[in-house]
Amino acid sequence: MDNYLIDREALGQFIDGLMKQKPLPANTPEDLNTLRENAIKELDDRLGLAIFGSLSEEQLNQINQLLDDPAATPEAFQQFFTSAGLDLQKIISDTMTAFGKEFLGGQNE
Amino acid sequence: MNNEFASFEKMPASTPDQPADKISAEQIEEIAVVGEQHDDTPRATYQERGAKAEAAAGNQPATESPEAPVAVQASETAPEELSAEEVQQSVLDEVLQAHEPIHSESQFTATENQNSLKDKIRETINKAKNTRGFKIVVAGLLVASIGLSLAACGGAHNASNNQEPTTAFEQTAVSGEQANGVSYDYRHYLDYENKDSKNAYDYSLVDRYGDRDATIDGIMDVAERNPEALASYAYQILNEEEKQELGIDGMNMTQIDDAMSNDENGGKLQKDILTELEEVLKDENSTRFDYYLENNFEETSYVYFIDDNNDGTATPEEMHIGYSTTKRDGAPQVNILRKANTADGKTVWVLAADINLKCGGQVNYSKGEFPEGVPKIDQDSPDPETTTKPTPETTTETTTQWGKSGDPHAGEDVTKSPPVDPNSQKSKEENDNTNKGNQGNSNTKPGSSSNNTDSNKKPSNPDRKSGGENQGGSSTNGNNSAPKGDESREQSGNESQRQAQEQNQTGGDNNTNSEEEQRVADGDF
Repeated sequence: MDNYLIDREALGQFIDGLMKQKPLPANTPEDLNTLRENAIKELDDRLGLAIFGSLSEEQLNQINQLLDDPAATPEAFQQFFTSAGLDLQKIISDTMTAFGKEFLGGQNE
Repeated sequence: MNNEFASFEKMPASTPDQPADKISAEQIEEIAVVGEQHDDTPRATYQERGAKAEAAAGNQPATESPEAPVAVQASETAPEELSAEEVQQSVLDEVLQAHEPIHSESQFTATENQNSLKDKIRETINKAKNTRGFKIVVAGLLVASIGLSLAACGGAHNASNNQEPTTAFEQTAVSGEQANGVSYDYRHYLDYENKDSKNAYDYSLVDRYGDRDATIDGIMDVAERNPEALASYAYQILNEEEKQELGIDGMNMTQIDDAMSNDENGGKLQKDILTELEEVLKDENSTRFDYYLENNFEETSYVYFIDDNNDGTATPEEMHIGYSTTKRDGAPQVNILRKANTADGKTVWVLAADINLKCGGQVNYSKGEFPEGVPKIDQDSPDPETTTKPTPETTTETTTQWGKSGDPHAGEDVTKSPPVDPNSQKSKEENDNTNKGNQGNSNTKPGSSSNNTDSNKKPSNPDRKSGGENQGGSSTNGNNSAPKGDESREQSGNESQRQAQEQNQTGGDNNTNSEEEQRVADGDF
């Protein structure tokens, strides 16, 4: 497993799109790559925290049990979030929207 | 300040069809206000936190650096100084603030309890990072959220959604049936809003990741729409016996496409191949789907359009198969494995095809392994030589057998083939470049037809089977039904297996040469 919760390529493309609008400050390609990677990592963290931060403690316990089950299928996770009344798609979209706004806004300030 | 939100709406996540567009600016502001209710300090921006971390590390902020290349209020190297823990802690604090109402209702207001909750959330995230099922779910949602496109398809554009095209642009002209009975529908490929797409087969199948039935439906849908995609699937997935029954044995994928597009009975051939392909894919006893995320260089197939008639419309005769080299970066893909009998009577799983879900199910090969007969067109593709390569890792037995990456796939229930001498095992990167060799040994190019390689024009060559004649019919393993498309590869695989067995029996030759390693990998042994 990689050290990302979310599809890293997808996050990278999202960040790349932001960077095209507001380039990150870097003097070398290596610096730029580091900044990009940090942004990907931060977005990944935010998405993870937004997803699990939306759960109550009881729900956290429940999903931890599910995560501990090696036989848990993707469908089981989908079922969990549906039962929990959480719209994962919306959480993800919200988080990315907020991140994008902050990313671009932060560079304007 | 600029209207950055309006600017952000240009992003894929905010296109009119995307869920992100449903999120109003008010909702976003609401979240921000919730956070600020608990902290009078304005919320630090991404850049500001980077600058803070840099300051803490003793660096000067970029605002004092005249070398800053753009007018951005951040440091030259600010974010890179931010440790992962600092980033996570900062983000965690913000998320907890944003979700304070939820946890307040649960009486999580005391600092001690908040810390406990933080720890629990962090623990859960770390678990989730190592849980395939969860990652599959989230990956699918994310990709659906932002409407991925661009370079991962091996080119600059991608028809990236599976919505029926609604624009009236030549709708009837890009779908229909040729005089020889071949049906086609290139509307997704041409993507009415992006009709110069040249790097995909059809719409994205990423949302089918992990779902075999849905994947098969997607592949078949693409195959029915796109004869070129069907040709590549037939070439790659069907075994020699099946190809013989269809009369396409010895053909490379361009030649199979040519037979459908140009031959008098092309329509019948198309239907027969579709029937056979669907039967093979749906046979759970002999065909297996292993999903994984690809992170390496690949040579990947796609279709392109040459408007021979200069009428702006595409027909199968004007659509061609090409390939390019591209760097994958966590791309959702699926390995299709088929059971095959080896010469010594054993049954093994053999990698038949490696499919990139994102770009309509492109067939992938390792770098340098794309079969001959298909022109390489690195149109708008990233230059592989200028991209940082992933750090090689030591492969495991599982990845030696099938895998191209360390990500989850290659189920543990694979029939174990004879063990490979540990000293002959390759690094991950080396393995990446060879394990797809079972799709075509570079030394024995399947169905090669050199008269096709230098032309973008689809050959209408009555001698197209000559490529097969050049390489086929030399197998001595008549009982081998490995789905490798040509007998020479089967022979190579069996030879590899035999050698591997001999090595095992005799203690092995630790000095296995590279050619032997290649063959071992080619046969997935």
